[in-house]
Amino acid sequence: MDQHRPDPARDDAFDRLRDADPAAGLEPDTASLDAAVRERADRPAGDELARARAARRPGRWGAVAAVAAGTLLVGSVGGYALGSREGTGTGSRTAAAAITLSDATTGAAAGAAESSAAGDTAARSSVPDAPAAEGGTAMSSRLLPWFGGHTVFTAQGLSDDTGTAQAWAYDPAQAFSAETAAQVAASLGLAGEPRLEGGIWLVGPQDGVDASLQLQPDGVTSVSYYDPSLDPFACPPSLAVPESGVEGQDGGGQGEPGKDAVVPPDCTPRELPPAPQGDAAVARAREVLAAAGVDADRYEYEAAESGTPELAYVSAFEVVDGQRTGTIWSVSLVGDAVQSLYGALAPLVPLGDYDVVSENEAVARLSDPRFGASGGGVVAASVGGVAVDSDGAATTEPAPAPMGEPTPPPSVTPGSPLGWPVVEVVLTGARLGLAQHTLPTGATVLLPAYELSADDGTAWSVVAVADGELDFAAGR
Amino acid sequence: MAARDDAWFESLFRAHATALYRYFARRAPRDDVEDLTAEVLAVAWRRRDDVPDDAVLPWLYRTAGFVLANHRRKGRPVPVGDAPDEVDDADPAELTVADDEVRAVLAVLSPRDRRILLLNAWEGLTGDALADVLGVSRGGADAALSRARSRLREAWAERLTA
Repeated sequence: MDQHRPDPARDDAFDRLRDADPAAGLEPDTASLDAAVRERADRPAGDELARARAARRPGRWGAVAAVAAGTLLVGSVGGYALGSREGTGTGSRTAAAAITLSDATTGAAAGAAESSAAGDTAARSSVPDAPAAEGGTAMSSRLLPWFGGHTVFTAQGLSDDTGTAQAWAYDPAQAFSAETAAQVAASLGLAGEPRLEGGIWLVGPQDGVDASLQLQPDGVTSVSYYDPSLDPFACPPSLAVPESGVEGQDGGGQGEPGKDAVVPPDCTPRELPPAPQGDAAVARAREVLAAAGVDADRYEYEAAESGTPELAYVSAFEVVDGQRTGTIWSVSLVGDAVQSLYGALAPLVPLGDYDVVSENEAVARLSDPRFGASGGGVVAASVGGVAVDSDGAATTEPAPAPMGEPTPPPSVTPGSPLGWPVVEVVLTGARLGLAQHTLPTGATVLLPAYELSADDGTAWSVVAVADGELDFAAGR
Repeated sequence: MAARDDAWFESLFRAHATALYRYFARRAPRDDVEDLTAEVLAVAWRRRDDVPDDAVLPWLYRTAGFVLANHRRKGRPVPVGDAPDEVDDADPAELTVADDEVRAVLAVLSPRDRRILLLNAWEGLTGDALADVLGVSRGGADAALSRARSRLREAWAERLTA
């Protein structure tokens, strides 16, 4: 529908120049840079921050316990493919990827609260619902025969050490209010009194013409803002008034007016100012988050190529203890203005240290029906002729049979062993991180979770909190 | 004005160190990039009272231009003294771009065109921020960018038909 799109002049020369950027994605060694700055600026190294920094040492629990939120620490990124493809484009990425737990085991409590809470989590790091290892659980349509096969997990070289890790909860009570709605609206230049309708705080008319804001009553206080007047791909709503003499409907010139005549919407390309790109877009997104009352320093930012100079997209990934939490803000910019904004306003409160199981126990949990397995096919593979993308979903139709035409399966030989594929997975890597999860009450928490991986990079996740700190009777 | 203390600087560092690092990585030998970045950040600390509350990044980029110019003149990063009148931070001979075609096309443009093109194409600056870094009016920056892109297209087309 070319009518709807602006037509930025094709500028191959400029695209070529932009693509030739020698520093795209380049990251400094921040520790070294920081030291160099101190040297030059005579900033005393004995201050609290430097002492705290020096006191951190990477260790088994280092990724979770030792690194304070927001510090860029090169080299702490988890080594697995799961989640490492979150976004492309410019930005800073040093926190470990958020872990995603399959919530097949939370039952009915999942529902709307979770889906809106999970709405902000990156689909790209989601994993398909895997059946419990015992079998008998219905496979989702995204599952492949590979994961539908029964899987036996063995740990190799993993540890028996137990320990503790910090858990967190999002506190919507602090954010879900008229005041918050008003503050965010004001920061975006949206006028109007917040009103509560259907349990949702609204600012602005919800008519698809003017800008509007919504605050959801979910576990993370999701916020969404959209300004249609700045959307380069939107058309102003048309008044579909039938006119006599309208031509072009049937190729003839009769122009018969009537109820069925449809006037094409008036869609001329909009003249919108160019949006900042790359690092400048990131800087603007930081301002937007800060103005909305969010601590912009707790996030990592990535600007993505929008393909049009009028639009810029920036994603901001919440980080806590050197981990991405799975909460993501999305900001789209047109010129200096915000065209749309999606995020989560509920602050995180620490829940204290929880006992966590050892790596070996975590592997055992993959076969425990109380925990199930959250399988992730993270590397592109071709299994049984079906291509796999990073979400484990079949990306294309099954590859055509080598012979070209379908044929009936071969006859089964009497007395022969019947094929019953069992996949054996040896897990050699374990990373303790955080996973966003919805409790039966609808509250959203960050739980210590393990990401367990095999040598080929395939990874599974399981909750790490020890049995003694879980309430198995909840929700009954 | 927000208190210009350690916390303010930490926040500035976290927000902008990478952007500055990339600015220099595009324009200077790799071995000098960290030093140059550190120098700009050190200036931000030493002159913290001069850093505006908003538009911090443009201020840093302006400072970076001066630091780069001094570096080229003296062959090593030195503290910013008098600012040179004209910053040419887009000298094609100094750019670390690998695409030789791009380098060659940039070479036929004026230093002013080059500068604004790179600030837009690589640093992603537009509008007020771009004008701020260049020290010109918003209208002037918009017009200059438009002209520069136009001349880039012409130079590119000429090169292709040459």
